[in-house]
Amino acid sequence: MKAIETKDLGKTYRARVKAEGLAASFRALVRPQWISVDAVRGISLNVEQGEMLAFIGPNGAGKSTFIKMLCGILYPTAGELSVLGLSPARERRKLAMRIGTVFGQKSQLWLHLPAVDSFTLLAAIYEIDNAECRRRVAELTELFGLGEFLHTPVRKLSLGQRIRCEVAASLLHEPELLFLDEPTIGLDVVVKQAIRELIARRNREHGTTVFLTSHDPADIEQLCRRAVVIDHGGIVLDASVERLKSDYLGKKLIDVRFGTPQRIPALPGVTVSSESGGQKATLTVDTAVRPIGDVMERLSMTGNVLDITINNPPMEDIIAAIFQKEAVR
Amino acid sequence: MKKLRKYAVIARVSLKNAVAYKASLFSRFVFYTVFIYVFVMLWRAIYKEGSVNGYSYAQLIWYLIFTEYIGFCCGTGIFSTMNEDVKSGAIAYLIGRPAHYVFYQFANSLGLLLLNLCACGLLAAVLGLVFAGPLPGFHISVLPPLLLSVALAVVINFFFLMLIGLSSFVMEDNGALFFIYQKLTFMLGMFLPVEFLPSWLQPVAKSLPFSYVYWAPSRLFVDYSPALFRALIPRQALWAAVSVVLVLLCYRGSVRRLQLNGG
Amino acid sequence: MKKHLKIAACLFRLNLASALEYRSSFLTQAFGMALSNSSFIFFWWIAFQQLGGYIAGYSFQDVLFIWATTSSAFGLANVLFANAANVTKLIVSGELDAYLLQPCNVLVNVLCARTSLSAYGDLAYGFILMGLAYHDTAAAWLWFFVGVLLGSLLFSAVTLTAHTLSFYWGDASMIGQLTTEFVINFSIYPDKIYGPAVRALMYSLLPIGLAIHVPLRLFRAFSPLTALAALGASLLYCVLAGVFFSRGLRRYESGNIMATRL
Repeated sequence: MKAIETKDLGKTYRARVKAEGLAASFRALVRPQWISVDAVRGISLNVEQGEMLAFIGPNGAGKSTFIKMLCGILYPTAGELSVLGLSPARERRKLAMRIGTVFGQKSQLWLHLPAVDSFTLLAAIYEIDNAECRRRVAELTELFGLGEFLHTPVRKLSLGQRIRCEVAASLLHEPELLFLDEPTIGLDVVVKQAIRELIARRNREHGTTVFLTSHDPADIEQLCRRAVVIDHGGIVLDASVERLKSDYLGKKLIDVRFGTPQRIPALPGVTVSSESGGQKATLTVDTAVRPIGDVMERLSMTGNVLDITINNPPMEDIIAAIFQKEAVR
Repeated sequence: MKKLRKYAVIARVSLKNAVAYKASLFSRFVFYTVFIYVFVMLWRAIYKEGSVNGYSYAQLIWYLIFTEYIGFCCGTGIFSTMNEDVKSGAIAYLIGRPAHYVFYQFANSLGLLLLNLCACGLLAAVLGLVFAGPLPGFHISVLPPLLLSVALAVVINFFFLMLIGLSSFVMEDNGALFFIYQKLTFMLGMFLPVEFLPSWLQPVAKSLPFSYVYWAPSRLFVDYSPALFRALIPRQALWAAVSVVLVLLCYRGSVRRLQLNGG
Repeated sequence: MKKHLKIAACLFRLNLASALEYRSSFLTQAFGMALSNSSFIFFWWIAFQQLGGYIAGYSFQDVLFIWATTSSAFGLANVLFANAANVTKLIVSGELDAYLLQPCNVLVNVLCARTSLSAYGDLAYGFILMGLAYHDTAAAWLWFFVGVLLGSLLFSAVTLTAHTLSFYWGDASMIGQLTTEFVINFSIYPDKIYGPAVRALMYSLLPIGLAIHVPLRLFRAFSPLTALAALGASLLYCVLAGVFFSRGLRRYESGNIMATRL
């Protein structure tokens, strides 16, 4: 059995169009005008159990519509789908027992109460008996390091602590399939790393299938082996993260600041843009051509470096590059 | 002069803003109509049992239409605006502006008030004509003194609400004060004319500010006489002045506290 | 069934705990509601002082009964199911997603998810009023309880039905508010003040009369047939409201409906 299986899955919304003005409002009331919007057009996708898949696309590409169909929130208008062997919209409750979700900023925790109270409610909803619930909460508390703030009202927690509780809450019923929508958004680097490790560990130890959408290339690079890129409701690219890395994620950005203006010599695989008369520069390094360490070494040899940071190019740039290249094929 | 112009501009912007929210105006209309319908039905039933204290049926319906009209016009949310400004600390920035906070708020609410007065006024007139017929003894020349009375009522209500809003400087939760004020104005004028109250309560009501929000202008409307005008307007003016002065004093005290203790 | 009772109980507990985090606000709101209701009772007291006897067939005692029943029924509805009034927002903004992701009945989960602080004041107020007006009349208390239970169900069902229209028409929040206003005004005045069309409405499409005015009549003169009919019709209405919601749910577009204001 596959974790997710879709064939030509499509979703068309009927949206009401309404012209400005009071008269138009009344006309729309009597005879509404509709337009069709194809949010998802014929996506066929198979995900194996235990796989960690990155699902990428610009805003409005149809990502969330697709995920909502997988979770049983929306009825598809075309094609077939099966999630954990179930038909999501028709067997919504059965499916819900077996999947977990962390949807960005939408919290499933009660803001004014300690997280442990929300866990009690979730236990009732997911039919976990008291003893079992206590055992799992203890396990997650240990694993996620929730101990010190489990009994503090959620509104008083930091964002990082809150996300940790959030992910823990979505794991309480030990789902086989986990949907993560921007799980690390807004977190600092250290917390991001911690969250990633927790997810990876869950996948390793429980074989949990992970379906991840993220705008952070590091999330994708570190967690997933396979990436699917969609746009305009269809799949643009379905490839291994390895390939994505070498083709698109292989670029790094080095921001460097010098004490005195410097001229950086031209190197193959490195493009340079200087600012402030040579005191600041951004180097785009193609790591397939030139190792990053090599570039760092050469920079430090100038002996005048005040500050240096290495970044991934933003997701938007990567997606734009993918579209450019895949459109040519 | 320049100063006054500043507030006129604020009021004009807020009027434009209010006009832009057509949907909210529409829902106000619907709710106003529903309330009036219910009251008309109720009083029709009451008048079937006998007549009430010197008000004819038509007078009473017009009276209620008028009190509800003032009530709807005054619904500018100044109390919650002030509460939020104080609790969020935004007031610390607002007092730094080159406009007096109190008058800024008044000017800012004036737009919605004026829109309500005009738009709901038309609706009120139509509803009155439908449910009660023309008001006996009403003449167009009554309008100017009536408007004066309504304006004073609006000022009294606005500044008393502001005073309660200011109390959030010293009280954690001042919602109770708001409730009490609101219900007192309802009981001492909005639901019933003061003349309907037990005889021992009438002088008490007349010596308190609450009846001068709804009862005074509405009474003047349904039973206008120069003598009544001379009796009511000075009292309204007095309470209006008291409310404004109290707000300014409390505001100054609150600002001083704010500057001393921080937000 | 048992599972959902457990969930409802758990939600109730969490709601109450949340409310108690803000104790003073809780007390103020509850107190404010009681005060607000008192101003209406004050009105009726004055009206009966002026006229005495009956208004539209109701004595002052009768008015106190419908007021107590309405207040407690409305209070109980909003202590338990305050979220019914929130359904339009959930539909239009796509917040219903969160409920659909959980393996339990959406309606139970939605309705019980929120409580209203002021509603506790309304609930208590009815009991206080009954204590003052009918402290020695057991039959009145019996019909009061029947009215409160049925009334709370009907208040919620009517509100839910109005907001469920949002599945079909887009933003129906105004219809929802208006409906709530209507049913309250049907309940707190003698029903005979209204014309036949409005009265027909309050015993059919918005059947709150069944839970407020019918118990009063049954208390004054018991009739088993009326009692059974009212009970049956009320429960049927609630079931239909639930079915209507479930049907509507199939049209849920998760916030992708272009909102049209109604």
